[in-house]
Amino acid sequence: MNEPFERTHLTDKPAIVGARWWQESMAIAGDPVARRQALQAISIMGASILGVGIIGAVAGSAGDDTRVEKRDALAMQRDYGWNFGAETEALTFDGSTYARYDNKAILSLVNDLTPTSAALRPYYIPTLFQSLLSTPRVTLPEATPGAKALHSVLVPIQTPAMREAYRQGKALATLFQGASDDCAVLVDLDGPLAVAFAAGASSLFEPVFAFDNWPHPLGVVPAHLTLAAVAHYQPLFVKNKGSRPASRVPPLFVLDRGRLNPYSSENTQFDNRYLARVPTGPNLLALGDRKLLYVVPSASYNREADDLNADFVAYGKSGIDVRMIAASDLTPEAGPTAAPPGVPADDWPPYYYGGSAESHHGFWTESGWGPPPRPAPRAPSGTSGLVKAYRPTPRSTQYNSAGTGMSKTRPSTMGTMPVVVAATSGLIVGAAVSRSGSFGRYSSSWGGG
Amino acid sequence: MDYSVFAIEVAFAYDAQSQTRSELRRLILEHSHLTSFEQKYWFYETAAGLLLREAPSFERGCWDYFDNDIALSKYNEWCGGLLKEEGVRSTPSVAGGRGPYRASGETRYTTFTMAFLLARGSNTDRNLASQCQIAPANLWRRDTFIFLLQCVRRFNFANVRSDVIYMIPNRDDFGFTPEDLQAEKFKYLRPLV
Repeated sequence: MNEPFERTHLTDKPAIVGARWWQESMAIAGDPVARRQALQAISIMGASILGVGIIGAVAGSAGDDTRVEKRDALAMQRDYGWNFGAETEALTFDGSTYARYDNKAILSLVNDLTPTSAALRPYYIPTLFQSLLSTPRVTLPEATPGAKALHSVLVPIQTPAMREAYRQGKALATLFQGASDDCAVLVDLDGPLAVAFAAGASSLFEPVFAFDNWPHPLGVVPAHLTLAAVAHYQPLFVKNKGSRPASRVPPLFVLDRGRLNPYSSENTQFDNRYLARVPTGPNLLALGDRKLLYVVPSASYNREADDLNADFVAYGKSGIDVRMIAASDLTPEAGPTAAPPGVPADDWPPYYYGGSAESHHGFWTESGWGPPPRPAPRAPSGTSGLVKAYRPTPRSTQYNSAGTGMSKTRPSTMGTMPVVVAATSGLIVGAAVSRSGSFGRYSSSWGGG
Repeated sequence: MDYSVFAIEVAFAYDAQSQTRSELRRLILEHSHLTSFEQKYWFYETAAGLLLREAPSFERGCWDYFDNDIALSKYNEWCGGLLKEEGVRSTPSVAGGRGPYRASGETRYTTFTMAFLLARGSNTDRNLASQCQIAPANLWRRDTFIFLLQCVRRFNFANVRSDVIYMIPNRDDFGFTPEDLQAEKFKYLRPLV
């Protein structure tokens, strides 16, 4: 190997610049212990491989060797389990608050969240929900006995931030109530918040989820939290699915903004990142959508995510008008804090564009998509101005060559994991992910040798 | 695999006219994603050479060599400086609009760190084990740090499993104040004589 060192981390920030490299090829070849363990695994593996019907010669001789290779992370999870390489690590559901949960109902999530409209189904990506139904296709010799199914360890969550996102989603629905139905919405918030926002808006919009990964205990994308949020809102999604009008319902595509989280170390992180796959411009036009409203968390996010730039620019070329709104522009009006009788606590207080019922429909004037379906006697104040200011423009991103639409392909450096492979047979021996916790550089005493 | 760890960090004052920091910054950012042994050798040859230019200004420093079971955890601690951005300032130490910080008469400091996870018992490791037999009285001498940086220039990178390098700050206006370096978290940086 001519270039054995691979950079696993690069930081270029005002306060610090630095990088770290690893020489992977040294890991197994020079490691008598690891190699011995690997060979033991290979020799045991003969039986289990036959058990799953994979045809191939298993490297079982003592002279065989191993190497580390990168493989598609999601494919490895499908084959070896959702927590492959970290079977003893637990998922953490920090900040969860929850009372009721039917963990049998969660198994019907894929079907429950399938769009009613057949035209929208091609854009529904249920990968995350499928993780609940998975069982490993292959069992490795050293697999943890009785490894728990994902649905059995899932804990639904509802956090204060989710409650706020839910109300913002409801506000968006009221904004579009009675408006023309030629506008699609694309929500791009952190997973649990995107789910909550979609739940709030689901009385009017048809959610189309596009979560294209699986959770993992070391996942750089905390997809288990997204799943936990979906578990909380599942009954509401089902209820609203049945109560939306049978006529055309505008779509609300739902993305997890965490999909592009920074990934720095394969030793401590599992790369479950992915690129957003969304309808193309012609697809949207065929659905009857000539406008697209893109929802971002706040004014700090004044341009689309890197993996959506090419899509959005192409939308413009297709004649689709793209606008951006910050979820933080939807805020509550000052007033009573306690919900009136008969109003669910989650629905109170109502949120409005510009923080006032009187300014709410001023959105339509600011977006240029007017006239407002209802009067807006007061101009919105204190909003980010993104609705007026944002227009997609081409820019250079690391995903420029990934393509657009649903056939987007992620870079080879994304969504992979290191695995130990038997050199002769090419069969996988195990994951090369290991957790190496930091002991805190400043917490210990130091000596000069 | 059994490992050893070698790490060295120095702190020195800088001024806005110094080219050393900008050259170190460029060196780090331009070093390839994938790197050969030879490129790695020249990278550290250059980095150590640039640092040695500033050797007369070295005011504080720390170095480590362990060839036992704590080597990997020690290496991770050193990596924490980069991965967790431990120690960095969250805000500039120079207020905007005041011009070059030297105009305010205040000194600003930079730290530069490099750490290596080595195959224990390899040639490079054995050489280091010998070179790091420093008499206690000489542990915190500037000359010792110069000597150790020279050692880095002789590494065989086939024996190196991982390496980390970082400079704090990146931008000049995020430099450490003298008060910053007095903080408890920087106690490990000993004054050099």
